[in-house]
Amino acid sequence: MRLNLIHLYPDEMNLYGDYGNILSIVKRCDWRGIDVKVIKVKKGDPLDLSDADILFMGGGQDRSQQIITDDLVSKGPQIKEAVEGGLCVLTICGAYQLFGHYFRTREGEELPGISVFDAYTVGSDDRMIGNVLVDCADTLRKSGETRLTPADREHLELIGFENHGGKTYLGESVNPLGKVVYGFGNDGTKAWEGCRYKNAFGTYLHGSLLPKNPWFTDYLIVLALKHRYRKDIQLDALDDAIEYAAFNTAKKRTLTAKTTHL
Amino acid sequence: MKFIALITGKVLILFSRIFRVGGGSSFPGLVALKIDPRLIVKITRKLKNGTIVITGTNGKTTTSKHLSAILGYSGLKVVHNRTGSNLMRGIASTLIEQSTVLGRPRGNIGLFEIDEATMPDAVSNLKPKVILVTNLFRDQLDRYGELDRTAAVIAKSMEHLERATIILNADDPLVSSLAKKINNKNKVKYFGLNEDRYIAKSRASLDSKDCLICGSELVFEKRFYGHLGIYSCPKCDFKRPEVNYEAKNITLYGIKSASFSLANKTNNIDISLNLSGIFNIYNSLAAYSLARTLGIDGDTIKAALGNSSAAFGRMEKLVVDNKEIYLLLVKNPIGLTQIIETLSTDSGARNFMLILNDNFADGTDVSWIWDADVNPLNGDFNFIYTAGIRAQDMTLRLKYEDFNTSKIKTINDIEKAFGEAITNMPPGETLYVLTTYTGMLQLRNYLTRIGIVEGFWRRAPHETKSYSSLPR
Ligand SMILES: [Zn+2]
Repeated sequence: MRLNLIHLYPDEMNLYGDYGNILSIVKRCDWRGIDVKVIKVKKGDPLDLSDADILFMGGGQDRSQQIITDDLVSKGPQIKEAVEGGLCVLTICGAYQLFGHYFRTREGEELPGISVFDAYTVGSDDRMIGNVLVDCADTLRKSGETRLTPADREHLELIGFENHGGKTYLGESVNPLGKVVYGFGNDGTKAWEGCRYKNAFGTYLHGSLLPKNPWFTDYLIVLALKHRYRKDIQLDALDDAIEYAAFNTAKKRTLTAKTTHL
Repeated sequence: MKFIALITGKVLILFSRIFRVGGGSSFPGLVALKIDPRLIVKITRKLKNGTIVITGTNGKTTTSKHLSAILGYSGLKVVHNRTGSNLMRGIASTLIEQSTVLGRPRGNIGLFEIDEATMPDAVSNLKPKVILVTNLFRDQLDRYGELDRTAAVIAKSMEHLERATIILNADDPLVSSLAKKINNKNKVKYFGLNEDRYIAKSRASLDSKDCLICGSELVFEKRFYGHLGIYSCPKCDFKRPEVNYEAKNITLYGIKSASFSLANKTNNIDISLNLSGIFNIYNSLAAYSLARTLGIDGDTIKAALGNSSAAFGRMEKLVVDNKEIYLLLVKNPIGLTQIIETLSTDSGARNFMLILNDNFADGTDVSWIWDADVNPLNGDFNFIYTAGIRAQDMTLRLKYEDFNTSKIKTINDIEKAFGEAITNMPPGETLYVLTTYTGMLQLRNYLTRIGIVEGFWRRAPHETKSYSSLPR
């Protein structure tokens, strides 16, 4: 089996260890004999999603976001269409924001997004920084998810680190990724984190996100395989002792953190 | 009442020393500046040979230490903010401490390491005659904000300086592009490497890869480390400038020592350094550029660099029962990548301990380890101990580069991990401990407590205390 992973703006949008996310998908496929081809799409490059299975885009500095915005907007309709067709997408932090309708800065300037997610982001004076624990059990159950392995269904929590000033508000047609157990979440109210529309996900979590949350990586792989081969494919189980040891350490650190939130 | 700010500062310094509060570092300066905001200007203008400012992400401390030694060798008396307190109040404290009660500095030249964000205040108060920018790298983002903003702040601080000489790292596009903002171009000089052997093999973790003028992606003919190298823009005329000062003929001997030549148009000296890594070549070259700008001759520079011990706490060597231990501080992806790349030039480096803490001083976000290239460590290693609060994250990082995890032991307790590593290491070999800041403090405290550091001094009195310097 094989998958094509599109890494959008690998140079501009590569903040906070996004390499770990790519590596996590590639290795976990590799260990199961699934061949992953990573295709880097830079600013100005043509985007071909006809044979794509996963699209990944990470966070960036302000300047990087400005540099790629026009290019992303020009690719927007194509990405939207692919998402409607079931393309698996993971966007983090700045990318998550740009996949919504718009980002309104504190000064009131509106940067256009590509409206993959029915969501918008507003700049704030707060900086939301710290460890985050998110519970995805309810949101996944609600979406009728049955493709996870029994072992993966044991987990369904995400651990990560957030660092954002923008507050993201979700509209009617998207679901949150999960419930905030600890941390600020989308809009700083400690209620919900991230969002999901079809097989496209947005989240503020880095850390890197995927290495310490292997069930979620596998879930993305399952969705991508389904998209390519049009059938449910059960993944071989891997020994995730090291992954969950890191998850548990980070979770314990998060829940017993001495550093208080601002 | 002319000297009230100064005297108050001096009293506070004395007070904090006696009662051991506040470390005596920046509080007295803070109070003195409240009383007299022009205190720094008043004292520094009495420095006969002016002041020198060094800024940038990595290498400030070591470059200053080298330059301070060179200035000392050349007979100058240096006022230097060596406490690491490089905000304005720290500088004020340094000056108060190193002046007479009449506000006369006990030295004739000022040397100041300045944090990037403090540059505007520092430049307007210190009125430096030379400014050197080492490099600009991404530091822990949750503390220092974004790199572009940092560059903009530095550029603004130097924009209108008419008389100061500005020395820029030519190999760092973010630094060399600062020249575009400087009005008096005649006063800009560059330093850089002339090197073909030590080309970065590590995965490029490029913090700056777009042309700062037109936004196109820069083309790198070669990279020395991170985004430092020989580059040009395919669309506009921005390229790595010709240098005034260069380092060449470089040979690295693992992490322990290096030899190279430093040169400008009229001078060429061969250096043997008790430090290694390309980043340390840059530090020596930066000090050389400053010293030559100040008119100091090559022999003096050579003598001072040849005897250089390095900045406190960056690298420390210990010997216990014929087992050598190197303590190396790592603070960011580029620092970790550089140390690992330098270690990989030594086939005898086989025993490692990696300590990852996530306290505030370490950076609370451990994502950065995924931006570092740890691959060159994955050779014929004997063992790797991972330790510290987030040891499991480090082990996971190694697993995803296909390290043999059966040779990796994960023990959060730093003392326990260190004890096991020493016990399991064959005599005559070296243990390399790479650690974040608070891990370094914990380990050093432990070593002092159990007398290893002392024992080492008793056993080997001929050994000089060898600190060397690594990127922060
Ligand atoms: Zn250009």
